Amino acid sequence: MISDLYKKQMIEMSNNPYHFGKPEIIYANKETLNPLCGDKITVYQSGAASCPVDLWFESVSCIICTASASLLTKNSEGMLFNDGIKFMRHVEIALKDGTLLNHGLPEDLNCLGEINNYPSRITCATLPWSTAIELLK
Amino acid sequence: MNTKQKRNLTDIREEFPILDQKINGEDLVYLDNAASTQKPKKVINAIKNYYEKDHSNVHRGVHTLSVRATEAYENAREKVSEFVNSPNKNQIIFTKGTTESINLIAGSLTNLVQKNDEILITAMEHHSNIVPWQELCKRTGAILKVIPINKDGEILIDKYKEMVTNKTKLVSVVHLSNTLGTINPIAEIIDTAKLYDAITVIDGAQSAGHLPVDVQKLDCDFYLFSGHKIYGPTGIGVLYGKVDILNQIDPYQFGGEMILKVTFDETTYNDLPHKFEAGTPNIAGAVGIGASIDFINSLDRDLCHQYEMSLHDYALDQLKKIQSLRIIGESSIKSAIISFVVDGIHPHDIGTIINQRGIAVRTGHHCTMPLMDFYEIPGTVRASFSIYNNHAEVDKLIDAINLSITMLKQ
Repeated sequence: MISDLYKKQMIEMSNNPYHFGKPEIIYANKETLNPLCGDKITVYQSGAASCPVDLWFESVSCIICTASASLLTKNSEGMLFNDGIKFMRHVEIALKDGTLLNHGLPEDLNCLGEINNYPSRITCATLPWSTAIELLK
Repeated sequence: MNTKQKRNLTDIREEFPILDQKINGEDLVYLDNAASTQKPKKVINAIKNYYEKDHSNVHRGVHTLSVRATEAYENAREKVSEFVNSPNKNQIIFTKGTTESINLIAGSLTNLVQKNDEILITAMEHHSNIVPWQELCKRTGAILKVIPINKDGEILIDKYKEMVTNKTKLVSVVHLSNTLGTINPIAEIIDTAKLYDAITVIDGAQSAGHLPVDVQKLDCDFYLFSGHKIYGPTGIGVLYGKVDILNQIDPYQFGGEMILKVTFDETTYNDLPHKFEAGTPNIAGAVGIGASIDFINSLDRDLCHQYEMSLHDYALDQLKKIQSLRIIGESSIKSAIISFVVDGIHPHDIGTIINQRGIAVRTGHHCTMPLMDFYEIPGTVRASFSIYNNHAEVDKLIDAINLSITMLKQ
């Protein structure tokens, strides 16, 4: 069912994404393009290197990418850099192999649980996470 | 719509076996014809028969299968030659597709292009008609200039005429825009370029399957297209070129087939068209494109165009009734391609949702990122029609778009 992919929660998240926009203090940023569709996302780390993870983002992107970026910024907030990268890699792999629901990840990530049934859209969901990993590492 | 047209179109649809299937439990509605057309049984069977009965390597073989394969390959060249009204079949070079055809020209022209020469393209070009020229400019110091368009998606022809000068070495223009559907005034563009002895290249990827092409009448230097957009197979394309320029430019690739004589000291190149066909060619692909041309020739092309445009016009009327939907590209001279955006909804999301209704459209930038920048959009939804589509499929498209809007704007 297509409504399983476009869950109400995901649509709402896309309409009101968490940490959308530039932070006041930018420590570093990374821009990535999705060559399949031309979507663009920029992920920002606020504060300094010694600060915990505090990601923000700007994007021209679909609902899935925007909601996924919102989940990224919300769920990684406050993590230590190394823990944040580890968490993001975990989610990225789970999105790709369809095991998102099997790893005890934060519950709100479950709204991306159907993405593996839509192979052409997996990159939409992983783009914010891969961008953030590149930014933080 | 007259009775004869209805009967013919029904027959045509039945010749495309792929259309008789369900996607996500719904009848397939294939509206992605600008990306690739589906294949009639005639083409599928021609390729199958070739591999079952006639396959071998071409040229130089003395055994029966090699002779048959060579005949099949060269007969296909003859069909392509007649299809575009080339003066000679040796001016038809088989490539992998339009992209390779353009790369062949751009890669072979290095010795004819000098620093500060100007190459003109339009703002609506496919990446394949941008990037090879950028690379040629990098190698030679030539300058790439872009002919502007208006918001309707039409070339500013007066501006173009101002841009063509004695510095203009080459003008490369798409005949029919894959994103907008605009049919460009290529005869006028070619005539103007000729005043300054500029080389003219016409990207016919979208047009060859929908519009009659007469390269002698156009008097272009090059005309290029792909097999898979004219009901033929993927992996085969065509480059038509004028003899004098084909003889002036260097080969693009080197190896077997393209030589007359090889010693360790030097190599003499073969004559046209073999000079540009290094290595074992795509023989089955050539057989397939030959069969696709037979298929097109069996149709009344004017009738096909009228029918496709009736689908386009009907769809356009319905789409314009949808609030928040905006058409991208409204030239008065168009083919059956419609691009659109819906405010606040990403094209990919629409494409995914309507796919659940069995509807195949293309979403994204359509390999025309600079054009997307011009319209300040990330991409469009593109519905492109062919002779096997029907008005009921347009209705399904409209219903599915309305569904996606309702769903995503909750």
